[in-house]
Amino acid sequence: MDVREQVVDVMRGVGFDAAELADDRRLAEDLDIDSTELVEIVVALEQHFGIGIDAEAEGGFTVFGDLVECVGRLLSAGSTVRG
Amino acid sequence: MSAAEALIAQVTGDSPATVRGIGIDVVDVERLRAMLERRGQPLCDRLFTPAEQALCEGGSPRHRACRMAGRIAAKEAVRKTLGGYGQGCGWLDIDVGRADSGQPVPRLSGRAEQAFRLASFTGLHLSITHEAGVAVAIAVAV
Repeated sequence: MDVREQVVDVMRGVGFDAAELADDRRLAEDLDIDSTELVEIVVALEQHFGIGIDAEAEGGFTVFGDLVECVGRLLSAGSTVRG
Repeated sequence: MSAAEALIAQVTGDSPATVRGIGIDVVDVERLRAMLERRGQPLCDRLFTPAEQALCEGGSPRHRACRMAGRIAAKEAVRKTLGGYGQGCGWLDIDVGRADSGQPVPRLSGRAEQAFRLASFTGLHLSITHEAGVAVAIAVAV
């Protein structure tokens, strides 16, 4: 399972349908994700992938693809991966 | 001068308080409680400073969630008063403490403090209330 599929899986665990998770879907306007829910998603991604997402990065997440890109980048970087 | 005029004169006299920013937010307590139950301490640590977590300790999970929901609403309300200056302001940059009187006291650091200065605010007033399963907070900047 690639990174994108795993991110979709995590989002499904938070209550989203895989069908609505296109890369260009806007988190706030299209998926109705508020600031508190975004934090939960970030923590869920951290727990699933064993990575640490900087709190400052949260503000830069605009579309679903940003989450996939961030996780992919952190996994590739390795040094920021926890454990 | 009538009594009403005297009151107005008193308010707008030597030190007029000009409202320069206002923010309001509402948080569903049960929704937050469920999130905290699902994600545990890591979510707590992202949303609340250690001092805030200490203030929210004790009581039932429901009461704890109530206090936390009030603080989330307060942080968002404060962030809204900062307007465009508050871009990138993190959850931990706004600490909602409590005065001896029970009144919530916002303490700003990092980007929130920077935004407060850029906006040329001189003070911040905060009020939190709970009713019907939600927490509501309003912040006024002067």
